[in-house]
Amino acid sequence: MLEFFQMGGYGLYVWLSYAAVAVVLFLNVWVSVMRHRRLKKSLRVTIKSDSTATQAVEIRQEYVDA
Amino acid sequence: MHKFLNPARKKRLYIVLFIIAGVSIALAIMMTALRQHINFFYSPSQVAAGEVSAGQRFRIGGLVVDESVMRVEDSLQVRFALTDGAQEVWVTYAGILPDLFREGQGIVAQGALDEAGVFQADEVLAKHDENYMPPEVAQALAEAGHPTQLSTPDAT
Amino acid sequence: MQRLLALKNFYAFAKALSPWLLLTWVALLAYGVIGGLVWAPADYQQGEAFRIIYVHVPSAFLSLGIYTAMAMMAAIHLIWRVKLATIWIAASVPIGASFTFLALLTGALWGKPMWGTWWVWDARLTSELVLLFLYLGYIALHRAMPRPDMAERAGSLLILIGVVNVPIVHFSVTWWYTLHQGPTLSRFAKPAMAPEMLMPLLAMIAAFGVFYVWLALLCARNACLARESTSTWVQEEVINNA
Repeated sequence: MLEFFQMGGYGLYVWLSYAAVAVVLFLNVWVSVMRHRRLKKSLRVTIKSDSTATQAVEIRQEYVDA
Repeated sequence: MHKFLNPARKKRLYIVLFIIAGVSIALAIMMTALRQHINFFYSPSQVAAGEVSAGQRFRIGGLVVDESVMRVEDSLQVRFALTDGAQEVWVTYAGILPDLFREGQGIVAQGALDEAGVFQADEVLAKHDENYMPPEVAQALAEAGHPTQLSTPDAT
Repeated sequence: MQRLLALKNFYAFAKALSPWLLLTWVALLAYGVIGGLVWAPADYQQGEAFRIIYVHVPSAFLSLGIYTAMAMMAAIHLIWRVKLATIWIAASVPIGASFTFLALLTGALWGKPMWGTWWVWDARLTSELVLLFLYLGYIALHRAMPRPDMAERAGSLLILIGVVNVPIVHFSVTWWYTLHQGPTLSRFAKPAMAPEMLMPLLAMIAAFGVFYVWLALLCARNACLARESTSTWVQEEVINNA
């Protein structure tokens, strides 16, 4: 088992590579999923408060600016 | 009006093609002019042909000639020959060699030629090829007379 | 085709596809990672360090693949003014930039133990760095423009001009002397790799590709919701699918 993690002495390089990929891909997913949730939530609030037109335009503007 | 390629779209298609063609041609001309500067190293044949002068700093790339590696005992001093299959250049180097350094391996060294035509390197990098296989397969290939390290760094 | 281009239909299509893509991704990734780290034998030259190939090559492959897809979308946008094309570009840029960054980073982590250096200015590494700057340039240009339609048009133009860098990255190792080795996979002859090493690599490339499509579809769905926030289909969507 220890041998597996040492990777013939190159463990640092191998594991850092895989970790970097995992972190960057995770961040990509996290940002998009969070944006999806926020977007839906704010759109729901807008509809419920029943002043759709103006606020929905604001949301759209916010997203385009981001 | 809703045709796939109405006149307006056709015009924009030509503009797009024109941009790509223009940029490609400009870049191709530039890269041809700068060819020697884009190359990362010189081959032993280029060095033998006198393309670089003594004292000028440059990189040389080739395969370490079999049985040419000589080490000075109790020091990091090492001396070996590099070949591209046609010409050989001797290299001396004092320092830590990369893990992949061995006879028959492709390497790239940076430094300059001295008056005797020996390349004084201050950096040695290993260059490996694009073949990947388990050690047993490599051994079987070698025994069958197909050494795996014959591909020179210079494919031309 | 015309109907799929309507954002409402695209949204429904993307949403339906999403779980299947996710499932495929997990399966390919599981096989690729285990196959690459455990089942594949060590390399005859590079030993265990060669296992970095299973994240490096897919990242590099996608960095070029995503850019090529973006360039096609940019042409479609500029010629046919298809709204969905710009949405797809905007969704692709951060993912493409991420993979380019990862290709450079994992390349450095592979280069240090094998070549003896983190970085050299050879044609392959330099052109891949230019690719990263093209992605970042799109983001900067997009932010600098005052109007969204101007930003999209300028962005598409930049992508189109930058597409000449794609063949340069790919062929740099054959056109010039480089420290980077030649291509393992792009030959028409059989790949220069033992099959038990090759299969996990192909699986990883496929996994990264599926991941890109899945994530880009999610980003594109976000853009659809935001752009048509006043329409009834968006309101139905957010109320019915809390």
